[in-house]
Amino acid sequence: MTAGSTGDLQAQLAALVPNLRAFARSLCGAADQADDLVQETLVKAWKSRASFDPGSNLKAWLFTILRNTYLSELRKRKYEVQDHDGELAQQLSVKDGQSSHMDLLDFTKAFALLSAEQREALILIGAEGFSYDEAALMCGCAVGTMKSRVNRARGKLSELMGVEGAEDFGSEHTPRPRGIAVG
Amino acid sequence: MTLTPESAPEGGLPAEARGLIGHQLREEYRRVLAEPLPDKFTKLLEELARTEGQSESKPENEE
Repeated sequence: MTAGSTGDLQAQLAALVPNLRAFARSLCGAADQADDLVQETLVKAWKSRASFDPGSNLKAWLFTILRNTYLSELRKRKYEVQDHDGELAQQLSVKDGQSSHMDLLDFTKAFALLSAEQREALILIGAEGFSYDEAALMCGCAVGTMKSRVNRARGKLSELMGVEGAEDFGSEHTPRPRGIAVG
Repeated sequence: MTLTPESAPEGGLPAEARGLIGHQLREEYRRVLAEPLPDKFTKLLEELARTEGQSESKPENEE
């Protein structure tokens, strides 16, 4: 690798740090933990840069490293990081289909209650604009799985947030009385 | 089977609800994207590039 391309990669990585932070934050919740994850990702990416195909999508490559790092740590620690924010989850004791009995949540709180897979899917597709094919490849799942994760994430959010029309979502959810307005 | 975000997939939400959620998702994401970057990231990248410079002539140790 020439000195020039080393500099290029350094600049390209630097340019993507905000995206990595935002993605990490959506996975971890906690900001300091997310930043640790980004740093770890940058180190790993740098070490394995020889395996990166310059013709492919650098952001997708980095995001893949980040989510794999996150998930392997999750497995190692054997605790649900979503429950990091998850005192909240306990306080609310949200169960599927019981949302009519609780206060409606704002987006951030509702998002924190999604599973890691759902948060990841929603961010990759809805916020970063990756295609379903790309996102499925990054997450090592089938395209159909990615689609259903996104659908379920949207459905859960709309239910928690009381978005009008949410009661039409999915048959496994208990229908809610109509007339709950968007906050 | 091709599904565009506009077509309602099985079990999907009405377009309006999807639109609202998508909007808030992007707003929140942009908010984090716009946060000022701590120096530690720039420093880390510089550090990585520096160690690269040193080890470039000899075989690289993985850890």
